[in-house]
Amino acid sequence: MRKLLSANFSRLLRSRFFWLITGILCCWGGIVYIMMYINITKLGYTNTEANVYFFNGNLCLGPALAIFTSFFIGTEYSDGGFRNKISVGHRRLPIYLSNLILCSIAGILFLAAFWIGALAVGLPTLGTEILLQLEKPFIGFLYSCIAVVTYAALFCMISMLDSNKARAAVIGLLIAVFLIIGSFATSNGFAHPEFTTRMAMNAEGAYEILENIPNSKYLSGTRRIVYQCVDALLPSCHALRPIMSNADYPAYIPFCALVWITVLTSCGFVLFRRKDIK
Amino acid sequence: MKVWKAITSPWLEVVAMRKLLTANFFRLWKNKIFWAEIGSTALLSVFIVIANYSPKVQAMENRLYLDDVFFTMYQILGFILATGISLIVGTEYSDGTIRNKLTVGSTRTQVYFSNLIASVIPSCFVLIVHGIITYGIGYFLFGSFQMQVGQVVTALLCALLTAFVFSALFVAIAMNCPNKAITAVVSLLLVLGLVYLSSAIGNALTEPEMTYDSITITMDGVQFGEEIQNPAHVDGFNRMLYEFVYDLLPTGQLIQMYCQDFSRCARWPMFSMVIFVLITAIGFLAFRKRDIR
Repeated sequence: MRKLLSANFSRLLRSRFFWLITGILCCWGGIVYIMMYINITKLGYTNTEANVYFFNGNLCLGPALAIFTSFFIGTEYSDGGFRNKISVGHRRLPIYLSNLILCSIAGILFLAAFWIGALAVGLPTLGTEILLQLEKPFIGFLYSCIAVVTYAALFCMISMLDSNKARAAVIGLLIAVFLIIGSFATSNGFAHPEFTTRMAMNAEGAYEILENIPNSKYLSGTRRIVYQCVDALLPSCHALRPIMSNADYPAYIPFCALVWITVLTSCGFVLFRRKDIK
Repeated sequence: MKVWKAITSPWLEVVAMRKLLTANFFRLWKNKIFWAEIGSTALLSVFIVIANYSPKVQAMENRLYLDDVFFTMYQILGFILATGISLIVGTEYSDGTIRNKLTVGSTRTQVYFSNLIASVIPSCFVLIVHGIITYGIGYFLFGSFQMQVGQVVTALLCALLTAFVFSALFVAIAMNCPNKAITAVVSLLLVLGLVYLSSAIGNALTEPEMTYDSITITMDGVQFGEEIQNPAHVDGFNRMLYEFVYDLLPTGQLIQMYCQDFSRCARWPMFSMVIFVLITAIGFLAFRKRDIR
């Protein structure tokens, strides 16, 4: 496994795709803080939520890992890397796990590249306030890492089972886009409170507040349970959580993510073991 | 002899193109990706209509009509077409079919335009399947369109032209990139970027001109502060530029259809046709100079 990992890391450092994605994310980090600077100085925004900018890279994480994983593992398939590894005596489990570990580390490096770009632009222009205003940054970082590993487990499974690089890339990228849409839909669903306050115009033409009105959009019963399950399982929901203001971090989420990673990796490995590698 | 050549050459061109088109459509008909494209369109259309239906909402005054649901699917039209076209045309490149076609005497013009036509027609199929399913199920759940018939026809025509623009764009990428995987990824990322850019422009254009410096909610009611100029409001030349780009991009037109904002739809067909011709010209010129292996 140690040899496989060192071979993979040696390939990673020479991978043009890895450096291209790292560069793009680094630039994106800088652009995000340029936008924050424009919002504050030109448009006069005062209550800017620091987490939205600092953890913005989490949104690109899914598509970035989908592309990287499919190209990295797909090349190994098309160039006969897997066949060679098996023929020199490596077992399939270490091959699978070494790729999973590599993709997870690549994902964390993508996030690091985003933060380097963000801090390189943010600190000189906006000062240390951008770090001091962060809400629960360490838990946010932990959740970002959980999202990285879950994404890596998912895309690694797809790429290890589909030897067609183009198809694996398309499937991975489409899943990443739909996961992001799903996470926004889930967070919108949870955003509706049980009771709302409404404004109404009275007979004299003045506005008055009507409090504790039951909200028809509030998620309750089975629907809420389904939304909670989706929220606990989707990696895009874990990635989105640090971006949201006043987000809660339930203790069961890391546990659910661990179960989900185990299930994905087990399924992926069982099917990969039966695959005819040419 | 020269006259005879002048008379026969366009005819030979058409005959050769006809053969290429027949081959392309024969392949398309047997292609699993094409059927997956049509199947996913059908499934997503059904899902969107059913997911939007709620008997509780339909009983209320501000109920949904077919107009509110019909154009939702257009938001993901680019992704569906990018996947299908990049994989179908990309396979042609990576399997050496394009090289073989050129070897047996077809010209690059014939190869490029036969692939373009063979990509535009499936795009029409995607829109037809979506239209039939969404109207078929949506009519029973939401009733008919509230828009006028002319407006619906204009919207459908504009959607068809945006599908043509998407097809031209993805064919131009696929015909100039020998790696199928890179073609697919570039096409999908391009759509993602266009959607992001269009929504950012759309959001900027909806910023009101005036805003309040503060809104306070007290026990006596809501108190609005002084009315001030909104710094995020776009006006003057910038607004004209934003609107131009918003109308020019196919994703911008589709977002406006989804928002049922047809105030500038008169210029959409012209913009789409110009973009279609421009992308095809650039794609074809680049393809003519490519070294096909």
